[in-house]
Amino acid sequence: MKKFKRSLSRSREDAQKTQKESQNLVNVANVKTGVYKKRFQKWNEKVQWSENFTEKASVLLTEDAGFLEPDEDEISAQISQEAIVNSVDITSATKRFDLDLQFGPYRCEYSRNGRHLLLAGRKGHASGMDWTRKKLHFEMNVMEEIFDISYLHQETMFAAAQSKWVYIYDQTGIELHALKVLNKVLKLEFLPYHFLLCSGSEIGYLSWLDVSVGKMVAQFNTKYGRLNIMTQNPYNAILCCGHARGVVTMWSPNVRTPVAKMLVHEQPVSAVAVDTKGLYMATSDTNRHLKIWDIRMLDGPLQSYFLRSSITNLAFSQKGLLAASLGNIAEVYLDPCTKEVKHPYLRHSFTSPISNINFCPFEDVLGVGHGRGFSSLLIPGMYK
Amino acid sequence: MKVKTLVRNPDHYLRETKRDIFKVPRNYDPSLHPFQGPREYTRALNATKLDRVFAKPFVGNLKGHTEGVSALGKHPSRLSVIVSGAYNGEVRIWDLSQQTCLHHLQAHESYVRGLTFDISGEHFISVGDDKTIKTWDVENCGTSKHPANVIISKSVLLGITHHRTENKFATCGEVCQLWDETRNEPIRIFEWNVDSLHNIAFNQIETHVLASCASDRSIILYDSRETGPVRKLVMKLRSNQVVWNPMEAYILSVANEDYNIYSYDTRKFNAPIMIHKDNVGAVTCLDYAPTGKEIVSGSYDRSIRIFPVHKGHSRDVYHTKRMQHVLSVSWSLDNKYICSASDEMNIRIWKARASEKLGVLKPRERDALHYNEMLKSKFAGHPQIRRIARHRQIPKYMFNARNQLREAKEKIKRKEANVRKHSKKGTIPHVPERKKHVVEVQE
Repeated sequence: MKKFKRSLSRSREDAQKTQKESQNLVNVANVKTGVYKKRFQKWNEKVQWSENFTEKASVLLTEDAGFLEPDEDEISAQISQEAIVNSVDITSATKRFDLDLQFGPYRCEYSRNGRHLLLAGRKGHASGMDWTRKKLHFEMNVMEEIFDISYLHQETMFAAAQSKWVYIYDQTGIELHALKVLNKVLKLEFLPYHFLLCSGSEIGYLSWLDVSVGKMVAQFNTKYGRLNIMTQNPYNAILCCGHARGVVTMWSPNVRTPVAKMLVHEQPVSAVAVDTKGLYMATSDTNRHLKIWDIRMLDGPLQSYFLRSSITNLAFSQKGLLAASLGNIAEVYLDPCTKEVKHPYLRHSFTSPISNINFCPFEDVLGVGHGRGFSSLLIPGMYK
Repeated sequence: MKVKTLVRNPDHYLRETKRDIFKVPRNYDPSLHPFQGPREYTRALNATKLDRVFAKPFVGNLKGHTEGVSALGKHPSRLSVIVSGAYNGEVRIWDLSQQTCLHHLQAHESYVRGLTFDISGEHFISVGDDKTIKTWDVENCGTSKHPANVIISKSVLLGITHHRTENKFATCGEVCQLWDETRNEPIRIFEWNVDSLHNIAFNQIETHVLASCASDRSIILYDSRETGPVRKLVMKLRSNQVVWNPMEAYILSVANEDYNIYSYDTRKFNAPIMIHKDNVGAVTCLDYAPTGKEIVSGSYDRSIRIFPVHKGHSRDVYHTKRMQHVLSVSWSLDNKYICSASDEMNIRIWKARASEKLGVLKPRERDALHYNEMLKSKFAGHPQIRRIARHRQIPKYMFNARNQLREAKEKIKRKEANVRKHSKKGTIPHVPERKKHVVEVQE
């Protein structure tokens, strides 16, 4: 109790400090009319209250964020996963593992709470597991190609884009639906706040399917050909598709034409990723470029990088780290959007080309699907 | 190299025993909760719709009277007790929680005009057309059937009201009389050249002040410490009932024959501070909520309407197929129920808030309802939500009457505008709505 009191009082002092420093307050002295003066005073009170509240509530966040500090004579990208595993605690060390599987290349997908993992091999192998406990939910072979896999709103159901149609399975691998309206799908995305399963097909059709009632909400021909690069903007649930003409198009189910189009590269786009706050978009092309764009202004590039080899996959973490796969190498960049980075934060190489890369929400873990299975890498300091 | 990864101790996230609740850790980082606005809007919309789905205000019906019920009196301290008086002079005492009649007595020879409890709640006083004031013992009236006291008045009696703290009451009729409970003669008589006064009310805060409605379309204020009446306001049409706001000493509201309710500030008596419009018949009765924030009105158009005191239009309307002209309404002192007495011999119990859940609420349920209330108020201005929240199904006659009234009003407005257009500038002044209904104030 004593300890708690002390920590509370400390946070109060901190709160007072932030009151002085707070950037969000309006300087009332500059406001001329009385009505607005009162209004802004009220606004300031609200801001101060909420800031104090967050300060106090931070007492409840007992976990500290991870970090990685290299010595003076080394850079962090040189640090191997083995070295990290040897220095962290046992529980964290168990989060680094490799799955040696034969039906690759593999795609991976974490559930929204970061607890469950879904793997799909191109040669038909699908499995779901509670990866923190290493508990297998199901494992099966659909005897068809699987192009992409995606959890629906919970870990109890998932959709798999197979060679002909999209199928929905439950947690034990039982087939619930065969969605014959979704034909020859290459990429799946699920919009959790709209209950929409989005798919991009081989012949250029974009579809939004309402999974709560099973009704097709919209289906458009994008007229851009094969849609194998697609991601969602988590801030506004707009789909961003990368095309061979070097264009990124953004789609909403309400409009038949793209709501925005950006010419981002001179070569075909190879990967697109949008950060969780909906501020930045990272794109890469087949000619080894990586560009960061301001997605709200449709402006940029804010940063432009030229890499050693071309990027095949991109992923943003919740804290804004960017992971990229370059052939068989996975690299993670620390804050590449706001400032220019010289070196990757961490790097790991595999024996086979990487097919998919995904950050695990709420954990310091990066999941990598590659030709010979799946690997879970430790990336300290990724989530606060 | 120094390295540490994020570690979560499972003990902090699991419940300790099977009976413990599941802890839900929350991270308030807004980037983890996108679509906050749209999601809240959907919740507000659903809450508003559910509000209409659960809007079932009718609680129960007290039957037993064999004539129309003309008067209601509420007990000052017990929520479950009310008394009612009918056209044939019968008075009934009701238990609201059981919805049963406790006692019934033939109090007067004809027409019970008014009923009121004394301050202790042990007695109630009734006045009738037989010119008697009868005091009844609430406990014993089941056995004795005789009043504890009878006063025979010299003049006609049309209304009664009891003082908030002292053993005094006032009656009205030809004149306004102030009585002491222990004496058989009025202690004071107030007159102001009026044919008859048909309603009277003691102020609940400034307890010496009285207000009364007279048949010459006036509202008269009295001070029981002085010998004469204080002030008189004449309106264009007659007022049927006057009530004082129980929280604001200087505010009174009157139910008027011209279908409106007028709230006056007695300090500035020459114009109403608010006109409550929506009824399509003469307003016969009124009562304030004990919070002083809402008014319930019963009308000749067979409906009950609830008005927020600061709004010109009603927030809700209650009606049933069988309810006829409403003659008396009373808002219960716990601010939850409304009783209405009507022409067709029934007393009806209504919820004050139509969709409120009755009974004990569990904490989570209460929190959820509170959250929904906040959402509804936050999004109240959105067109779709406002439309759903405002929509009421009303009987066809009421709907048609409303349209007719609207048309008539527009016609008058149009005509006035035309006359003004063709007259010399300034000869036809704009009279504000609030000044239109007051004729004069006499001191």
